[in-house]
Amino acid sequence: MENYRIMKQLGQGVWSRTYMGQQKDTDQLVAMKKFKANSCDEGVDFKALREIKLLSYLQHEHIIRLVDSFATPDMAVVLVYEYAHTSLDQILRNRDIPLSSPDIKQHIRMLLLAMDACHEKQILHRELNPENMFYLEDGTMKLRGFDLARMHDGKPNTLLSPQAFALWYKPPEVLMRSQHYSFSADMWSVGCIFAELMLRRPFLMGQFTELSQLDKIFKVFGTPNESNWPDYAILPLAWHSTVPVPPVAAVSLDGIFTAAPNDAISLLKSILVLDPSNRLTASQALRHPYFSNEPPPTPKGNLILSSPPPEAN
Amino acid sequence: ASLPLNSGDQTVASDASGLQVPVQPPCLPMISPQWRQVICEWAYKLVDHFDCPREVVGVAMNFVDRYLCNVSLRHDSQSLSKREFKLLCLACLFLAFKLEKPNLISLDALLTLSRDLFTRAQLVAMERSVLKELRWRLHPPTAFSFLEYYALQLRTPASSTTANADYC
Repeated sequence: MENYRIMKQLGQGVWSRTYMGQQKDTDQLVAMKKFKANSCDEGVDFKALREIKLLSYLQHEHIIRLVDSFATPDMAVVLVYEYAHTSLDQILRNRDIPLSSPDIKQHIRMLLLAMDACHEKQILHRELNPENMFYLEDGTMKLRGFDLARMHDGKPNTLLSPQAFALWYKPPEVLMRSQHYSFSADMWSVGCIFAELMLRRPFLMGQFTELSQLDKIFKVFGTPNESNWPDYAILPLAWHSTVPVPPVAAVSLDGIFTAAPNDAISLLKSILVLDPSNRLTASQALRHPYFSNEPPPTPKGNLILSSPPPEAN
Repeated sequence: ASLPLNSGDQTVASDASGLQVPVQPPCLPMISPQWRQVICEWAYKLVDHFDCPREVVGVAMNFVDRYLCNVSLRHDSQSLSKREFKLLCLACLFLAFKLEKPNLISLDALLTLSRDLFTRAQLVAMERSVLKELRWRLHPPTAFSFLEYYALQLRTPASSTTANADYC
């Protein structure tokens, strides 16, 4: 801790607090995550250890870099990351920042590259949302928030917690309490973020409860049935009247994303699919014509990340 | 000044410049290779009992070896007693469990399994000492990770991630 100066608190999670700090020797800005020390009777927090392990395994252009880690005298673990100036959440909420369709292409491309790197190394992120997409000053997106991430060996009998994922980005199989979800679950969240980039507001906004989130999903994608999702009936919640009666038909996404180009909608339709086994993988999505068609994605250095300075009179 | 290792021990020799350098593998004089083997076997029994991947032992022993290597190369360090060695192995095993299968074995359970030789505070302190010595580098390559890597390379692009080969 003595090597860093804490400047301000950035955020607070269930298990940790994030600070903006500065390395004393180099004046370099860093983000510091301090895990709460309440679980000290079990020694060093395993969540911190797991994140250190994953991040050192996952070194990639679009994944946040761990600079340092240490333990404080009061048994808390601190992880130190490279400092990112803004997040996609802040960009989306700032109406002064224009988002053109080449910009959107670059944002979603960087997310898919990060996702591909994770899945290639058998890592599930499980908490994709615009708040976890950070940007360096040069426009490089860095994926963060590996608190819930875990190695997934792909074996069908590995049980996974349905508690992961933020509500609006939670895939239908996880909402229906599947414990055997896989990389396609992350892809649902990617689809939601893609939709959010185009709409400039969260796409599927359930209200507080998972039931309401499922309801939102079914209203757009239709209720699950034997043809659109053959395996849905074996999910734990399929028996508990989560599926509305009478059945609802899917709405055409073209009607919702009226301003989006056709190739973008085609990609979105191939990612946001009820049946997890029919969703595109990250590497398949990157080969979609959307990325080779005109216009090319905005070079990341040209992305606008903060509001332009007020015009001088 | 001589190294604080047992005098006359073969792990230390003087070179022409009069500097004393360890010539043997990073093994402290009071610890014998047999100990490592005994601990290893005990650890394997433990992970098998909990139906845990055997990888855990590989990771733990990597931590033990690296810790000993660091400590034995530092001239000001004291050598480890048999008791300290056991504590070190226990702490490394605890760390490896946390990385691979968190919440499977509690600290108390591990202390009980080692016949209450150590207190909770001792184990927690050793864990921190290990992390410091290893500079928080907790993702060692093991034989298993190589196998996993080869399996990944063998997988044809057509096969999906769910049709992943059962490696072992």
